[in-house]
Amino acid sequence: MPLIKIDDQELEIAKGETIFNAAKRIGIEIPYYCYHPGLKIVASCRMCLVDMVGAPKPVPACSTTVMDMPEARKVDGKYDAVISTTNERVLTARKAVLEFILLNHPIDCPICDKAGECKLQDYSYEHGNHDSRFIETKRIPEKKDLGPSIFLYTSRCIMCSRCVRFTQEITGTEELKVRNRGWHSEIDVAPGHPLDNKMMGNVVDLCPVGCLIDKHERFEGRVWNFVHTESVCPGCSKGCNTVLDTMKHQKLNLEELVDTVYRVRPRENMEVNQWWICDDGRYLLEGNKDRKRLHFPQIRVNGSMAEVSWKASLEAAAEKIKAGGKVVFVGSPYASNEENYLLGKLAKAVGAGVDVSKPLMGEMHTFKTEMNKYPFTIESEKAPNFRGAKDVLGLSSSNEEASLSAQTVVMLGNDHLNLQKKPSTLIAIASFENAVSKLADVVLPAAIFTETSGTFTNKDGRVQKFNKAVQSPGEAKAVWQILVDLAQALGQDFYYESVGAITKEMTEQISVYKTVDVSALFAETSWVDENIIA
Amino acid sequence: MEKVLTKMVGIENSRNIDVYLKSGGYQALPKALKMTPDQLVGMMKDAGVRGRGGAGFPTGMKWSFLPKDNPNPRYLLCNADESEPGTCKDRVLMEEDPHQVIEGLAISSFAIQAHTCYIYIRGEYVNGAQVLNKAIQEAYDKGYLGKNILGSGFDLDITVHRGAGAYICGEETGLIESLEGKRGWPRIKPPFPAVYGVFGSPTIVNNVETLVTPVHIINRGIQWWKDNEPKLYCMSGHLNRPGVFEAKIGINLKDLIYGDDYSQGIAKGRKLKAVIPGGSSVPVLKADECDVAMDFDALAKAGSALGSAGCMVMDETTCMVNALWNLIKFYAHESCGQCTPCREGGHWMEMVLGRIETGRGRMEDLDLMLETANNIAGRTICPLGDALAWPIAGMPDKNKGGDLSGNSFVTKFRDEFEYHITNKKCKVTIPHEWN
Ligand SMILES: Cc1cc2nc3c(=O)[nH]c(=O)nc-3n(C[C@H](O)[C@H](O)[C@H](O)COP(=O)(O)O)c2cc1C
Ligand code: SF4
Ligand code: SF4
Ligand code: SF4
Ligand code: FES
Repeated sequence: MPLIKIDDQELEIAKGETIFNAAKRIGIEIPYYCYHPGLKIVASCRMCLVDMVGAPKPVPACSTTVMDMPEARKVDGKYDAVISTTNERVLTARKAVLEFILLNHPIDCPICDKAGECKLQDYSYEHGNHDSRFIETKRIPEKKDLGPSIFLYTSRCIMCSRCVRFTQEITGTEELKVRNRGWHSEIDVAPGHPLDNKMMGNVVDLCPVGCLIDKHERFEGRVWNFVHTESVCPGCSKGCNTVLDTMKHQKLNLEELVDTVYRVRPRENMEVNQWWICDDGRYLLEGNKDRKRLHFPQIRVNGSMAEVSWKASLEAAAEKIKAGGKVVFVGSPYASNEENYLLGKLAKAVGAGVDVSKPLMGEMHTFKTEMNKYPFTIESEKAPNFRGAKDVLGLSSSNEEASLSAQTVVMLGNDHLNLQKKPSTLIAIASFENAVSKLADVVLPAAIFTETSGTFTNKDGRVQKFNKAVQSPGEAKAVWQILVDLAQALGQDFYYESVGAITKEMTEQISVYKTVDVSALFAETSWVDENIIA
Repeated sequence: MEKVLTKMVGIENSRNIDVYLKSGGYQALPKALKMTPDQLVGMMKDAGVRGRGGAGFPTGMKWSFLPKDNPNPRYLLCNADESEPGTCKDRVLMEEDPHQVIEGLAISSFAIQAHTCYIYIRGEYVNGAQVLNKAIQEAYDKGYLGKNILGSGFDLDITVHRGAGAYICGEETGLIESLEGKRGWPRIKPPFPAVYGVFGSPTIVNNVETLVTPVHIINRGIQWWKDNEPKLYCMSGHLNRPGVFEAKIGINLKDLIYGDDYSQGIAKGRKLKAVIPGGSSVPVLKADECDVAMDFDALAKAGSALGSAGCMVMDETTCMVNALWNLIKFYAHESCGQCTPCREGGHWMEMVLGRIETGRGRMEDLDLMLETANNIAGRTICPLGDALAWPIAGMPDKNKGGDLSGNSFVTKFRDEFEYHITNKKCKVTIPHEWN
């Protein structure tokens, strides 16, 4: 293996490994724009230039590899390459590249959504010139509407071509192109072929500057106000790793600050979703915006629903469960392992049956291209945790139809249900008002996945943790808390300090989860206290 | 001197295969087919042929870079994109003597064992493409192309592919991308085309003039070649007799300009001011630097390059600011736009020069240009970035740690630039007829 020296550190570099990656390995970050680990290397932006002893010109770190040199050509008698990432030559080169990029850049940071997480801003502060030597007129091309969800702020583009490569190499849809040449180059779509595919949102994350802007998020928030929470997408059984960016904002007519999820971004996990998520997952929460959340517990009084206190609703629920007849607790493929586990435990304690409802099924879609090493598949099972729910409830399949005909049904989540016939008594632990919740006798308002923590088990059996990012509206509570309270109302002594305690118990009780290393789950991201917003 | 490369020029029906055959054509091909490919590659090495496309890379060495163990088919690409300003030699070969080109391609293809050869011809050469296509058809009909050429068992197809008017598609990897039907964005090297070229296969890209050389080396021998190496020079500018001239490589630039067989001196009896000897991308020579041999090494020593041998001669009435502005406009216009320094820097320099030329220059612009040229050269994917920087600031200089020497327009004619900035007009009086 070639031995190299980067700045003052000596290290071995694998055959084919680039200087960029080797430097990263030892904690040296080289600035870059066009490089992306998931895309073909084009080495065109020239931001990553480094100096290599013996090379006549600075070389791009992102594309340069090192070979074993014959003895005579080794530097200092032993190194196959000696690289500086900080010498005068490198700094001059960086400064020059930034100067070139900024020549034609509008520098409209104050109104740019990328400001605060923009690589052009960051590198300019760190490496750039503070005064421009450019006294000519800038070229300011118009903003373009690329398709249903994305704008191109043409003038901000730095031509890194990441977005073009994404539609060529990852989705294979090839909507994005470069038109014109040289200084006049612009990203564009062909007439009649808008940027419209199920992964297009990723180009916004990919763009190192604020050129590609998501219409859903434009002008809605400033990134330095965001709080980032690690999460898992509930869109399908793939279980893409995500980050929820949340922000407090003042609701109209309300004094209080409400926090909302402003944006969902992919979180790198090479074994699941690599660097991407699909738009179904990305915009999943958008769909909730015009739906009515259940804010308060309700019980049916004389045929119509009335809002009551938690105490009253729990007592009413307990009474109905104890009333006799067949009782079934139905878990949900949309609820976490912990919630399903607790539901099962409670059912057992009160002698009721358990079941799990069926997930919605939809289209499976795979993006396959010649160049993509990791074809991205959106799974047909449109629920995050069917596998986990079955595991922790000890079921091999759903027996939904039969269960719903029981005398009394305690149901976890119901958005996905098409209830033909109402059971005589229906206790719904639910988040949204819908046809089912309207039929219920008792409604216990529950948090959705952004408002609580837990684990999902994806289709491959990977147990992944998601964290609480925002507070629930009104009096809605996390499902596990509702179940603990319900257990108490039923005379059961359930007590858990946090979701983590349930996870721990679950992994001890459920044999297939014995291998799950809870401490590893915890170590990956610190577990968020239910009562404090992450 | 006996004409070799341009022997057919001026002969009636020179494009016709029978005329070519009558004057000794297609005699090298059968000899080549009796040699082994390795012998042919060795022959090119021994003769010391250097590429005529611009970089002057040793051709035999390039051919020997082809991997022996790659199972993919090999390709020969004949670079006929000829777009470097001042260059027009390949056009003469293709339009006046297409069979010489075809014979050269057949021999070269055999030497590198390629069964498919593309001629990538610049889009504007409509006539050239037609002439070539007609000649190719004649060659197929007579068995010099196609299956089992002259009973040797060697097959070869040649296809003419027309470009769409982009200089960058003359750069070998830009050409490859374009040939594959993509945008002409040069690739990063390595991998070099010899290893990973067109359609991912081993590929050799050579200039038209380079690819006709084996015809003459086979016909006349390696020693003859070494003693008489013929070269085409494209003489343009303020000359009495501009045109493409064949001469022995290394002919003195002064002879080319003043010689009776060549350009016969500066037009209108004016004085020589400067010469760009190798196509617009190479540093300019002042009149007193023109006593120089027109070959690769001598010109490199003189701080310029033979490049594509596109020799542009400027007389005393030329405004050097305007001349440089014109050149830089070309490179800025032709930048493919991939690399930051070339895309942005080129246009910036064009704007700065435009400002100086139109009387809005500042003294600091001169150093700005020299510095910026240094920030472009050597920091891009393909040599277009260099081509843009060298006319401004000269070739890389070892004594300056690889920075550009500074020896070109801005330094050599600094007085004119300064005059322009101070007086807001040209130092030279531009005669009526150039305006
Ligand atoms: C911007 C650019 C344009 C070029 N245009 C041409 C061209 O039109 N014709 C040509 O033969 N070589 C051209 N070249 C040189 C080619 O890249 C390549 O070096 C050449 O075709 C190799 O042939 P040779 O070895 O026979 O010289 C160009 C290079 C650059 C950087
Ligand atoms: S739009 Fe963004 S990602 Fe695309 S080329 Fe421009 S800067 Fe790069
Ligand atoms: S593929 Fe599935 S898990 Fe991934 S983002 Fe899309 S819906 Fe969510
Ligand atoms: S140097 Fe210029 S022409 Fe060459 S690849 Fe880069 S941007 Fe394109
Ligand atoms: S990151 Fe290496 S050249 Fe762009």
